[in-house]
Order: sequence, then C-alpha cells, then structure tokens
Amino acid sequence: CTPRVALEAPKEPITINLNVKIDHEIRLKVEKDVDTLSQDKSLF
Amino acid sequence: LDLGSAKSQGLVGEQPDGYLGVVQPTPDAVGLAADINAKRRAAYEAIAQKNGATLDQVAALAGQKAIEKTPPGTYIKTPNGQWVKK
Amino acid sequence: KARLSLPAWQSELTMTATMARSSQRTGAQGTVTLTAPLSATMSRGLGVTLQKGMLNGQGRWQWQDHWRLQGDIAVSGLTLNWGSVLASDGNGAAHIELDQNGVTLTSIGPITLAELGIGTQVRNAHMTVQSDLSTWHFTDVYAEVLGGIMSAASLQWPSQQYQTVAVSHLDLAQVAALQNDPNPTVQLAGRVGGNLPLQLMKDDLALRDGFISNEGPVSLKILPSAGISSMGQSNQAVQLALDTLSNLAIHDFHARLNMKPDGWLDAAVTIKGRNPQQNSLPVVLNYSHRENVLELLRSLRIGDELARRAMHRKPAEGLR
Repeated sequence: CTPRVALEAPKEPITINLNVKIDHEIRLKVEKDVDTLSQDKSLF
Repeated sequence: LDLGSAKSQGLVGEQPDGYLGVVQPTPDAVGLAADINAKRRAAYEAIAQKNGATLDQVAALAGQKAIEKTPPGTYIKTPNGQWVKK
Repeated sequence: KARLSLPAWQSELTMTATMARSSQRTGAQGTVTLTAPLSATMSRGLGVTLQKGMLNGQGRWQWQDHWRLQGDIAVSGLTLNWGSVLASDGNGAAHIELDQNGVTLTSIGPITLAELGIGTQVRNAHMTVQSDLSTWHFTDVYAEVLGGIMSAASLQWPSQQYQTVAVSHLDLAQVAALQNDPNPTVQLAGRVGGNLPLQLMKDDLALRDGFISNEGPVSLKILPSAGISSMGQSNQAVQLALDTLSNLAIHDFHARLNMKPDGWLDAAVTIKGRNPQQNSLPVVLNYSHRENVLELLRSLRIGDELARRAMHRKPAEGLR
C-alpha cells in the first residue's frame, strides 16, 4: 500500500455570530429639517 | 422689498446650490439676496451640525426643494447656469 | 363631427355622432379618437409627473339610456416620475370597455417598461394587465434587477394575500453595492435565488418567510480598512473572527427574509464555507442584518438625484 499523508483540515468549524443594524437616519433627518426650513416664508 | 414680491417681479430666483440668486442686479435685489443668503447659510449650518452632514449636502438638498416649490412664472437657475422661468 | 383641440397640450380629440331616432327611444352613437403628446403640464392632480410620451386612442361610443364605449388606447415612449422614482420608456396598448357597470381595461400583448429607478435599476419589465381601475391583475410578470431576474406567473394589486415572486441569479456583488459605501469593507461574489412571498397592499408592501439561497459557489472577503483593524485591536475574539472571515469560499449560503410594511427588513443569513488561507478552516457564520429598505432606496434615489444635478453642471461649466 502506498503511504497516504493527508493534512487533515481542522474538524470543528469556527462559528461566528454577527449582528448588523444599518440606520439611514441621517440623510432622512436632514431632509425633514430642510422641509421644515423651506416652509419659512421669510427665507424661501 | 420683500422676498415674495422680489421673486414675482423677476428680480431674484432660486439656485440649485440652495442660495438666492440675483436676476436683475438692482441695489434692493442685491441687498435682499445678501441678507437672505446669510440667514440661509446659518440655518443650513445648524442642520448640518445637528445631523452630522456637510453644509453643502444640506444646501444642495434645500436648493432642490426650493426649485421644486418655486411657483410657475418665477425664475430658477438651471444646473448649467441659465436663468429660466419655471 | 366635433373636434376639440387643446393647444396647451397639443392634443386633439375628435368625435363623430349620429342621432338614432326610432319610434320608442332616441339614442346616439359615434366614434372618438384622441392623440395626445404627454407632458408635465398635463400632470397636475395626477400624482405623477408625465415627462414624455404619446397617447393614442380610438373607439366607438353609444348612448341609449346610458353610456357605452369600446376602444383601444396605446401609450408609447412614456417617461414619468412619481416623487423621486423615475420610470422611462414605457410602452403598451389596451382594450377599454366602459358601460354602466364600470370600466374594464385589458392589455393587448405585454406592456413594457425599459427602466424603473427606485434607488436601484429595475430593467426590461414586461407583463400583461387586466383591471377595473381599482383591482389590477398582472400575469407573466418579468423584470431584471440586481443582475438577476424577478418573475411571477400572476400578481394582484391591491391584495392581502402573500403572493410569491421568484428571484434568480441575483448578483451578490450588486446587492452589497446597495450600501453605496465609497470604501466598502465587505466584498461579496456569487449568485443567489429563491422565493419572496409578498403582500402587495394599496400603499405598502410586506415580505414574509422569504427564502434565498446560493445557486453556486459564493465568496466573501473582508477588506482591510482603518475601521476594521481598530475593531480587531480592541478585542481578541473580534480579531479572530475578522481573520477567519477575511476570505471565505462559501458552499452553503441561505437567508430567511421578513420585511414589515414600514420597510424594516430582518434577514437571518447562514453561511457555511472554508477559509482557503487558513488551511481551509471550516467556518459557520450566522449573520443577522436589520435595515429599513424603504429608507435605503430613498437615500439612494436622493443620492442619484444630487449626482444627476452635479453631472449636468460639470460638462456645461467647461463650455462656458
């Protein structure tokens, strides 16, 4: 028989838990503020 | 000279960059635009500060809104710099 | 023969009428034709702003105690915007029946829309339509989005039912690009597909138990950036995770998706793969992603709008 050398990959997988929350607040808050600003008849 | 009549008389108009532009450079119109733009810049600065945006972003968004809300027959400046009546 | 032309709209409506006087009842019938180039001035009160396009219609009408009309209308080269959503090059024809019970509209062949800008581009949409102007039935619905295809045999709007839309061949690189990050930290490649049960209500949309999985090998790379390395330094476990996720050859990628009518999407993604640089270390990544999709698309559209304005300015300024 021929010697067989196998480099065993590590058995146990690494488990990673990753939680991501994306917030689009900034751009939409700016738009809300600009909307209220544009109601000001003395400025627009 | 208030802003409303200055606009209806075609002396000033809204620009994409968010500031009031002078169409007919009469002394009153130039004075009015300078005064209004200073106040607008302060307001834009406050919004930018509060929301962590840049002054230009706030001004550009305000310009877009101002042009959208401009009543037909008053002047707006097109992105390539011409004054046209809406 | 009456001819009504509306110069402001450069449109023309011609009607012919013949009185039918018989002993018992009087009545009238005739033909009607309409040609109308579509423009912004006609859009007041429509809720959308028509920009370009041509509307042609012709039909027969009868009046005998009540109105009846049968005819065909055709729209070509339609471009309109609904708020910041831009629809361009819409074409289609439909048969119309109008009588005392109401209207029925039936498309003649597929209606098509070349491009719909909702923040990401939806291209080459086509479907057939049947409607009484309050409930719309779409069949053979097809559109290209995110490098893949979206299709449904039939959809009704509005409806409380969850109706399944199939997606296939979606390009994960384009999905990742939706984050519109100038220097992206995550690089994804590969194609995914699956089924998305959607609730298409009058004014909003919900997704329940959507399921997406990989159609072949997928790869994930975390690109070095200041933010990433500083995160790593702060915590050993985080550094280990980042190293592990730096380069993954993924053989199993699947996601469960739910989105509420307010736009908040919750995606639970399970990724199984190996890190080729770490002796093909087996990795399982349980990734949960929470984001408001309506806000994402709106901010992308605002971005497109400002970019379009900026693009206008550059070349012209050079000429002045």
